[in-house]
Amino acid sequence: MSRGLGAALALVLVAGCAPTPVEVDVRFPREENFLFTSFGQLLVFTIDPEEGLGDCPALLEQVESSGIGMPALQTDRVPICEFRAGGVSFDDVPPGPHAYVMLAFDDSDNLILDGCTVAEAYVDAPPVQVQLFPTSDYVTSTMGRTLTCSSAEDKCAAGGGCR
Amino acid sequence: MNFRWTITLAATLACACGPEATLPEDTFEPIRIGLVVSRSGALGGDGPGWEEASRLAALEVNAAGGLLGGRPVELVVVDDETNTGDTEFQAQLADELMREGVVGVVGAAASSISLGVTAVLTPARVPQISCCSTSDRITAFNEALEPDARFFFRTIAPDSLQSRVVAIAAEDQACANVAILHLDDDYGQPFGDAIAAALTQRGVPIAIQVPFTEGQPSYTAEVGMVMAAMPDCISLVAFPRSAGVIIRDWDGAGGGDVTWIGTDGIRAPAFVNEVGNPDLLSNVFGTSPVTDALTPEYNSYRDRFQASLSGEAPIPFSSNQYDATALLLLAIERAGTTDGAAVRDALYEVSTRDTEPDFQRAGELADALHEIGLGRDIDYQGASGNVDFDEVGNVVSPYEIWRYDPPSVSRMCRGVVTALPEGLGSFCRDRTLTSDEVGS
Repeated sequence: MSRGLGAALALVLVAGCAPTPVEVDVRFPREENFLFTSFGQLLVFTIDPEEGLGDCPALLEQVESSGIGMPALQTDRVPICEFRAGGVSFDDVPPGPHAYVMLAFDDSDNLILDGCTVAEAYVDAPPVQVQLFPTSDYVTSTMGRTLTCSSAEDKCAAGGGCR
Repeated sequence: MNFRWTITLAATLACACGPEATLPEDTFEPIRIGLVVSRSGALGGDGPGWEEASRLAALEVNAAGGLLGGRPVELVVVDDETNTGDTEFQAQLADELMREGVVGVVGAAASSISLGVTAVLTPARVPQISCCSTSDRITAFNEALEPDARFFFRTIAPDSLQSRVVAIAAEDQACANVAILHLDDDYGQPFGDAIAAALTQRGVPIAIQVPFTEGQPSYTAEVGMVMAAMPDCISLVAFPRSAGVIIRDWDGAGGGDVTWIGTDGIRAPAFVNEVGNPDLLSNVFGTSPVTDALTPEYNSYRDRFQASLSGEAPIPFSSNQYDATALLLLAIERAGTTDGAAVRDALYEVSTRDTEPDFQRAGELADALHEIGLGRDIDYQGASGNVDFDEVGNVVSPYEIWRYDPPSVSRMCRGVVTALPEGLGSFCRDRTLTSDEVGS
């Protein structure tokens, strides 16, 4: 299954520059993973452009074990459907490569999926693709829980209240 | 699979309009991995399940930022059609993958196809790992090469040991006259010969040995030859489809009660599906390397598989395919390059215990990549076993003697039960033998 759902996360431009849309393509392994997700948070970390292109595993380890650390930019932890609806904004994205870390939480605030990619945002850049994968907490957090939404559309139409 | 959800950001730069790329264009060029899978033919029922296992490993690595500094993993899949007889076709598959720029290959399942593909890949120094090819001819292929020229690995144990387990299973079933019915290819012929030798060594009489060709619409001629020898047990080395046809032909010919002893090649849902009537399989046993032990590694793999893919349980040997893919990806990261020889050498480094490494489990590839990034040794513990490669690219594993239980039959199972999808019954692990037990 592969479905596209558009959403807008607006970044504020520095004076004199026109906004440059950059697509961040977040991929859940399957729709069920999205339905179990209640909140999302996107973090952007500054990395060394020469030595830091492989920083993702270390960043994920840090996020999973000791918190989000010191990202250069971050969204709030907001309902996942707000991302989809375009209601989430950033400040500046500096030039150069950055690590984009996406976190997905369930309704008990367990980190159930995460993913990271290193990319560079610039004019006409390809979309930043962040692949999510279940964390070690996913199974215990979702075990025995039934889904109450039939689809992502239903979930967000219901205000994100179902799963 | 892969539910996509897109956010559109309005990007900005602090000091310039229209920012430009600062990194070379090919910085995030995908790393391409070839997959030789059976999407059709005799193993076509299982191939897609094994393909999913490879996709899981790629998904996991890509969620951790990819390899070699942010490069995503991309799978290039070719269908081998379970075409075990056409070496030219097998070579074309390898050529096609090399044209696509793959840096390593996972597959094939069938031994004949693996040999045909590696006949091209090994001279080109492209590492190849099979989940399921058990033929002893593969061992011989590597042994004929200098160590530096060997590029074929597998995450399943070779048949040299399994043939002894077949003989033990025949003893367990008190077989007094065993017929051997085997595929006439790189998998079946040496396996059939080894079973004959093992039975002879244990003093079990052999009624007849009959080879057959995969892909025939019926096997009445071969079944007739076996019936004439009046065996009480039949050792069957086959693929799911041919095995299913043979069982139906046996029943259709009025073959009567006989104990079937299959091998890993038929421990698959596709075999039961092919037979159509599970009640014909109430006296089917078999042997197989143990690949789905209830280890933490297997549980971790199974949980991720179910959470990320269809929600169904992995099929038999799915864990071997996952391990093959995971090891190849970890070796690339460990090597720090896609150079074939360096990746080949790194396969030993990430799979075996040279010093005092951190153990890394299946389903935790991000942690493994983190450890490698820190310059530490790792010893990957696979979902299918410890996957420690020896000098000819083989692994060792324990074995099981399994039994098929139709859904209509209620029997106690002393060991692990593998339930088949769609109510097809289950495989019961009747007995487990360590590799030491088999070797002795």
